[in-house]
Amino acid sequence: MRIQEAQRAAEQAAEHGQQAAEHAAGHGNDIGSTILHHITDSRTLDLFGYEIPLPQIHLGGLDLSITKHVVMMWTAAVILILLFTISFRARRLVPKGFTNLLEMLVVFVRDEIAIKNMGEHHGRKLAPYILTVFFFILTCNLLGLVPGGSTATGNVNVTGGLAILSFLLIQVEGIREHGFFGHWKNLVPHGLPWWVLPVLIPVEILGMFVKPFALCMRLFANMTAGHVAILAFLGMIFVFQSVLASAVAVPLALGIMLLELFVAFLQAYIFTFLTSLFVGFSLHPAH
Amino acid sequence: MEGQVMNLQLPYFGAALGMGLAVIGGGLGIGRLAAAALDGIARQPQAVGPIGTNMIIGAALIEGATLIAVILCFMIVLMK
Repeated sequence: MRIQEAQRAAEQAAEHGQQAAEHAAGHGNDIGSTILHHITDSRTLDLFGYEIPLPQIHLGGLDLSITKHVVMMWTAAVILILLFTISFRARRLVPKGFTNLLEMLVVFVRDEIAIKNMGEHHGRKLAPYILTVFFFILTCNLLGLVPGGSTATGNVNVTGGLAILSFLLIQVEGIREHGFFGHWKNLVPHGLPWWVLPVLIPVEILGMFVKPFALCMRLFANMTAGHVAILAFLGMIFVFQSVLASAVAVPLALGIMLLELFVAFLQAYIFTFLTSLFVGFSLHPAH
Repeated sequence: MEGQVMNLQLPYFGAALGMGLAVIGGGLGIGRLAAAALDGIARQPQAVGPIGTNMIIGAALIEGATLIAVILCFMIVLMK
């Protein structure tokens, strides 16, 4: 009898201890999990306090569910299609208003990114792909700063997909320009002494995969880091439980937000710039 | 012993330290790069285009290595 009582008391004490520990850890974890909830993918769409469940599709063991970031990518695609079809519907030699801004961006990407790195001929040929990637990344980045939106480019799978496309473009364009064997011969510079090759070939093969990996990680990390910084500054208000904290936190968050606006353009530029630079290396290798 | 180590929150300490070291390295690298590029532009203002392009390539490569280190630190925090 007494043993049972003691056992029960011990169980209760353990339970209390656990609850106390959870309560103590609650504050820190709360902000952390809120931030994580905002930057990670989810199966519901959070729209101004409403949680809209999204359809879940399972095809033969593959999870092809529609998630928050998929919806954001579709939104970006729809916005871009509508924006460009409506803006360029009236064909004028000299565009007006918003079309002017779009044309400026298009010409900048074509001349300063595509043609500059890949040469006149290939630059003009590949400009549509580079432009598509540029505006897609830019729109996805900017959608993350809109209330109710989330950053699809802050998901490592999205940036990984874009990086795989870049990798394929680099290899395919190299093969189309130099032939299959010619492309692999261009992996190392010509005219090197033979004893360097055993060292250089593995390094160059590694570099072939590191380039797109770095592209993927750069975009993902930049977009995620900015949002974590904004949310961490705003989370200070809830950590300190005081109105005074908002006097510091809100201006800081606003500053980071403006920085993010700049980073959204910069990262779209860097991603397409490096993609066309690597394609240019593969088209015109150093001799 | 193990309980004590967990109470000290050593994984957080390591992640924070690693993040700081990675940022110091990246900051020094990009700082030197920008200084050298500005030096070059000051000596030869007409070469601002190619110097800027090559500076962006170098900055992107340094930034990539730094960001990968920072992400690994972030993952330590998440997977602690």
